[in-house]
Amino acid sequence: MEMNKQILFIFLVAALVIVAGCGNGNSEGTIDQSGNPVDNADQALTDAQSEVEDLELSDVDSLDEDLNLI
Amino acid sequence: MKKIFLFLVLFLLAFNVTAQGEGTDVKDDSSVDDRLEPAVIDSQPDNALIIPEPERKKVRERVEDEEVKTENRKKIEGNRERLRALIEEKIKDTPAAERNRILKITERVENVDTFIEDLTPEEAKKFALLTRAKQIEIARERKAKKLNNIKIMEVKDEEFRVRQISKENVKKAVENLKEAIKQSDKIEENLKETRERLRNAEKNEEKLAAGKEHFTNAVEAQLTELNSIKERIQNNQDLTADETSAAVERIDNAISKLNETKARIEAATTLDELKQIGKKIREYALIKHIYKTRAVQANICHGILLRSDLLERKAELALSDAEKNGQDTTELNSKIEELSTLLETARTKCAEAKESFNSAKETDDVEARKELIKSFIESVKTAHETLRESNSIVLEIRTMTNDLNVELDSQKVDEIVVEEEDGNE
Repeated sequence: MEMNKQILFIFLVAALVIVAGCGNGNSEGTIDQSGNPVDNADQALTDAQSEVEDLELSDVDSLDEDLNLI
Repeated sequence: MKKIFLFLVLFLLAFNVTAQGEGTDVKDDSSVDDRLEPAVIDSQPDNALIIPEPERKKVRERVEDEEVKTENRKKIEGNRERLRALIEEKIKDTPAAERNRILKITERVENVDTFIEDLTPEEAKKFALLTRAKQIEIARERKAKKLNNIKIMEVKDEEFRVRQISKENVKKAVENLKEAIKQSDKIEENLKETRERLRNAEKNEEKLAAGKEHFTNAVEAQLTELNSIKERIQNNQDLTADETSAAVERIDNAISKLNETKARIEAATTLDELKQIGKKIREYALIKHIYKTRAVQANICHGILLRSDLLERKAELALSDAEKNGQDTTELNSKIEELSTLLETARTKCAEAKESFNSAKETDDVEARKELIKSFIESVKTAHETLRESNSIVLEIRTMTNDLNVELDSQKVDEIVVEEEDGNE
């Protein structure tokens, strides 16, 4: 009888482990969004923004005007 | 006790069978393809005896129309099946999810099967790895020769670095350039004051003195930025070592000439002499703009563009997973097409930018160089803007794949294709 109780206990623990495993399997669709390719691409484009905005030839145009002053 | 034990065994068995049943609800590829075809209307009236003649005529026309549609559908199905067999035969080592992307373009291009038939296995593999928009373009124009300029590249790291530079150094170089531009702007503020003095000077001596001070400040502003642009080029992971050396050599040359110019300004005795020196400063300012733009263009048109291409491919694989799960993928499919088209536009702008850059650095005509730099800057700005737009589509795609419960970021892409001349000389 005692032996049967022990087997039953082990069996219940194993059953709980299996059920918990299935539960985890169902959440496989969750996507970790930290430091992933999509966010990295987004960050790289944001980083480039100010540099892109700074691309202009205003100083060359000013020098053109200055040369006319002499 | 034995009964309880038996009951538990039976319960677990039943639970296991149910769980497996839920996990194996996957349909085969042919049913996926069926969903891509237009729906066929099959509601026909079944009692023609009580229908008047005009109505009967309409019904006959509808039936004939349906027959044509069915015939066309059979033809497309036939072509698609032939195409499937062809790509399986030519590129059997390429994963099915990758090679079956070619089937998608049959919705946009006719007779893709005959196009693929004429390709060598190597060309077919390159074609299979192209972005969707590029596949459509090449198949529509039937220009297999374009595949000669395309090479297959192994995806080693998803940043597509051409040189290993530490993130800290990249960041530091960008920040230092920003700081240098701020300093240069401060010098520009001083230039306003000396410009005003130059404008108001009446005597030649006054003009010469104000002009000397003004141009010395202008040289200082250029030098401050040039030194930082050099650092930015040296710490750019999207430029090859050869191109970096060539660029650094040109920048060093400009720095050295500007230092000489400073001494010549100091020694100038006439206004005419000063004017000629001023023209030189303008020339070196243009060199500064060539490399300042080149540093940003390399990041946008090499690293960011390739990473965006990779995301398109990942999205295609996610789409394939969703189709296998039997989900409605119409919206996701159309978003990927939108993304692909935008990336193709960005690629075109990058090619234009590269052409302007090459011409600008080689031309000796200063005015022509100025115009080429203007178009270089314009193309880089448009490429960046287009990639920003495409990135917002990627974010929408991620929401869709999340909703469909399929992976996007973690999809595995082993190979990517690049145009031979891409990014670097």
